[in-house]
Amino acid sequence: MDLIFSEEQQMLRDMTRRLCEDFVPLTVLRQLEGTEPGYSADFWTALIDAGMPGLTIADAFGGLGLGATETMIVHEEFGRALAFSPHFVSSVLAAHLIGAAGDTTQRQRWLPAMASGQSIVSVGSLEPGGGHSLSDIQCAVTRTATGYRLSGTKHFVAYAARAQTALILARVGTALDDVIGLMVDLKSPGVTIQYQPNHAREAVYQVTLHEVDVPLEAALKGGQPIAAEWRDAMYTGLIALAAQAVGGAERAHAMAVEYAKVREAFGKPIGSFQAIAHSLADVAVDIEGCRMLVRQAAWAKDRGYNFYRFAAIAKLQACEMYRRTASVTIQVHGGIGFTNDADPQLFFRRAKQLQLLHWDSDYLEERIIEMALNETSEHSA
Amino acid sequence: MDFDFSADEKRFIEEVRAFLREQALLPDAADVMAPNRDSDSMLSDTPARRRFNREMAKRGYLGMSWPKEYGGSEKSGIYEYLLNEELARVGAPLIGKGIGIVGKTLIRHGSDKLKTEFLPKIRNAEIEFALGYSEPGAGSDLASLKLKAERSGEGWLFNGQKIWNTSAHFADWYWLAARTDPQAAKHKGISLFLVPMHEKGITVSAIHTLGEHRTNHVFLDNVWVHDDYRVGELNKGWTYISEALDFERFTIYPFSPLEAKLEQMWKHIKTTQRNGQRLTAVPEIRRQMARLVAQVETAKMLQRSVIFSASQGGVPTVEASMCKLYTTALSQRLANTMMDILGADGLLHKSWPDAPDAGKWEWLYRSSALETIGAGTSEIQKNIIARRGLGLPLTN
Repeated sequence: MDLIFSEEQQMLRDMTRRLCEDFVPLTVLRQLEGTEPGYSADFWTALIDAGMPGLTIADAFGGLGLGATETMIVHEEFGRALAFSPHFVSSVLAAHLIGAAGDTTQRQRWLPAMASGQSIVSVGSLEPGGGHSLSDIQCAVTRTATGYRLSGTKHFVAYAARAQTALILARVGTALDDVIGLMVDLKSPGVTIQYQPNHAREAVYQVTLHEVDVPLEAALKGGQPIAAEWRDAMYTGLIALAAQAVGGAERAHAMAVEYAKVREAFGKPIGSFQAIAHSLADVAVDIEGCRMLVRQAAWAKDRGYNFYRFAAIAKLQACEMYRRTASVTIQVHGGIGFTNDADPQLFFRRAKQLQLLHWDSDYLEERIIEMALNETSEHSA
Repeated sequence: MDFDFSADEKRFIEEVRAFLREQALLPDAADVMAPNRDSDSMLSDTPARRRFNREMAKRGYLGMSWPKEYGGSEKSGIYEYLLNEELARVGAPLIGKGIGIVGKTLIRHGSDKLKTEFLPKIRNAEIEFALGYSEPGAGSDLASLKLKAERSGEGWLFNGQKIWNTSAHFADWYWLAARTDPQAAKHKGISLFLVPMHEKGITVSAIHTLGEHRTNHVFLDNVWVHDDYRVGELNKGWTYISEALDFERFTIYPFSPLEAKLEQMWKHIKTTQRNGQRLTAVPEIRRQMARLVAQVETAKMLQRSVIFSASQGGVPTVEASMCKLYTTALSQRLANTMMDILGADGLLHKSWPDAPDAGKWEWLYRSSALETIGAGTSEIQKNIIARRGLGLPLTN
């Protein structure tokens, strides 16, 4: 057993942290929240200069070809900074799907442009009123003489106003897995994009597709269902999201601990009371456990082991832990913690959003149970 | 980064498993290996248990981390940890306080006489110890202990009482903390002694517990011991007690029983119908089990964090407190959830022939209540995390 990061990995962490501190301190984040395009152009440029958009894209396509451990490190730092950027949706989720389900032409067409940061590809999976199961994908697609015609509504499509393209999941049949992936040009006729005000004030959009014509070559995997690739991409992505939760929770917790040392009540620092100290100690245990869960998931993925179970557990536990940590952080700060001027609310809103997007607790618990019981209902491919 | 054990560590795990499979075939195996009672077998004295411990000694499993000059093999503490995991998995007695607290403290601080007298017997499993720390008025606040040791000729005269001294009714020797300087600050007036358990003036009185374990209340009335049996320097007892806790970081709460309990729960859930429904189809059970699966994995991670830090030569006090705090509460949640899943049948005592899983859950529900109290309460663990981990100015 060796839980130490390599020197290169440590350098990657230091560099990412520095970029976040330089370009997106919380003062900048406050200006970005609730605006469009919703991320700092300077920060994104700095990430491009560092090769970050191509972090996990194979070097044959101009990426750095790094693994889940490096992705975890980078996203832990993004989470710590609450840094907004299209990195997760484009460089982790979309890049993984295109890498796994795209043919040679599609990979050549998209991955180098995504690796260089020139193209941002968003992903449309969730639909209004729907859950995280593929069964709730109702977006309909029919074949035409020249390609596909797509109709339906997606929401929580991240950075859709800036992304030129979104990978849209659409239904081609009645079986659970009859879902294909289409690279849809968001400037196409019939596409409407609308900013959705939301809990974390992140730039997410409703994308309405009304009889949108999509060329044949836009379909991944030759128009065959991509359910298995989708799940693999999501399980891989869960590790990055769980890492964000760990990074965010560490920072929120550190803020609460510092506050408990300086804020006085009844003539003593509030951290000298067990009621406060024990609540912070409890959270510290959850953070340590989740930090290790995420590392184990990344390690298993990089080793080529079956990592789905580890990844699901890591996301479930880390997001619940982050939510609880943020809530304790507000509680320890008292009244000031409830104000917009103080920082705890930033973490509080981000934590819940992270928990409910990209496979919520309900969905993850069902996956964990299926894996434990060797059931195949949702994951039969 | 690598979460796997090394090739040699894996080989050792296999070796221990093979040894335990062999032992399981012996006629007295049921007295030593009681997977439905955790490591209950270590809490009572049976011929089988003594035989088993001597067999462990023969295999070189006792004192693996001790220096070679005292008969050890100078292996990393991780091997003792791995051994305990395998012992715990089958409910066999874990390597105990003799090898750990007593042996390691003697090696570091004991006189030559004490080393010569005790270390070979410990390594050969020929001697049993009871720890005499807590008192009726000194539990979590152990340093306030009052049992008096006063100079008397060439030795010491002890008067006072101790409580929660498990195994005091069959131990040969007593590892006793006593107040040798009542004037000094409470941490600075304690010394450690070895006292023969059968010495005149010692009365051991049984305390019966919710977990059907016997523990003891021990009274010392003018018990005399020669100064040769004082351990280390006078008034340094508190330092030795704290240091010994740190040696034990590798052998804290094994993880395998949690994993084994979860497996047993699955077995029941997969094969049972109630109220006309398969248990695997009950949404509430699915959700609770998903959470327990995630929590057991989290407990494993907290434990890995302790093991890794210790294997790097660190003293993972805070990590160990985290692991203890989380694992013990989880153990209670497991028992409670399984009781709920079993319903009325789960209430049957182990003495009823048809009790589910031989009454394991009904018993665990009772016995696990001790886990968040013994060996440092959850509140004490949180104090340690808050003070030493987070640097909070916590008073009590």
